[in-house]
Amino acid sequence: MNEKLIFNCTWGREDPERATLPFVAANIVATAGQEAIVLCTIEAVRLGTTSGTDGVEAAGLPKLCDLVKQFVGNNGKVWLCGACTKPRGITEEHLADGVTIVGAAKVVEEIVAGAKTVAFA
Amino acid sequence: MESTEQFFESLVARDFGRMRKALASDAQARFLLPRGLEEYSGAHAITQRVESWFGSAAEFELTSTSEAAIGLRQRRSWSFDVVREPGRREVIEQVAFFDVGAGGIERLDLVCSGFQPVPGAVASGTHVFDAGAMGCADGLAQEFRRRLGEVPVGGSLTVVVRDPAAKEDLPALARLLGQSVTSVEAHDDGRLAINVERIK
Repeated sequence: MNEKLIFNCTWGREDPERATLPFVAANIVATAGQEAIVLCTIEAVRLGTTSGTDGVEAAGLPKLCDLVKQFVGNNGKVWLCGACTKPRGITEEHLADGVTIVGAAKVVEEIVAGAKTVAFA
Repeated sequence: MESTEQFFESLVARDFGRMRKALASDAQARFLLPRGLEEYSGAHAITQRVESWFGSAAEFELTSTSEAAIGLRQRRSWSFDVVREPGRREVIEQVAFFDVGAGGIERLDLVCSGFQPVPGAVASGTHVFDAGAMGCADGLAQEFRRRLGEVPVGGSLTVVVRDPAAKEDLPALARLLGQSVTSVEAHDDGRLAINVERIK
């Protein structure tokens, strides 16, 4: 059985709480040794760039840059929506560790194979 | 009249620097393409768009042309035999109406047939689809399915992609379509060549 979980993240630094929460949940999954992916769309794609999470912090939540490092260290993956990176000028050379630019087919393929998506924020 | 002739000659010669000079610096263009209407302002933008169609073709041969004065406008049509990808011959026809002023061509309205494959001109076994910078949101899936449809069952299509999302997406798309990805090869220049076998 495919036990992959995909967490949607649509907010960037303009709303640190919404930007951070999917990573909090995904990191718990990754810590438990299960496959977790945070799928960033819209402004959240900026979180996947080098220093894109610098200074993003919501009250009561961990600093996003530390959290993402931990998440990637736990084999968590960050996917950025290719249709959202393109108009923002984000290319492969801007990506932080553990981050990949993907398209809709890649996500659909995972879901068809049994992955579940989770919307937290 | 002179400006339209200069435009046409520079098109045939693919001399886009000369083409720019045939246009007024603030020229306006409307291109009705198979995918929809595009509008461009300025000689530079107009020329750049025309260059994007034909600039990199390996073969580019004028097969017919016609011209006429329609009142104060000039009409000019042209057809080309084009090879943009190895083993794939295409034809294209465009009809253009020009308004010419003292500074050159002021307005250009153009209708385009799109690149049309020449039946039987695809050499068997060498199907290549260079997707350029196409990605997830601009029709890559549709175009990929169309190109694969031109390959006989049992044949292969090599898709060359540059867009980072397309690199992840194309193999997934092929598998979703029930086809087989037989190899994925990274080029030094950052492009990725994905070989897809049509199995149904």
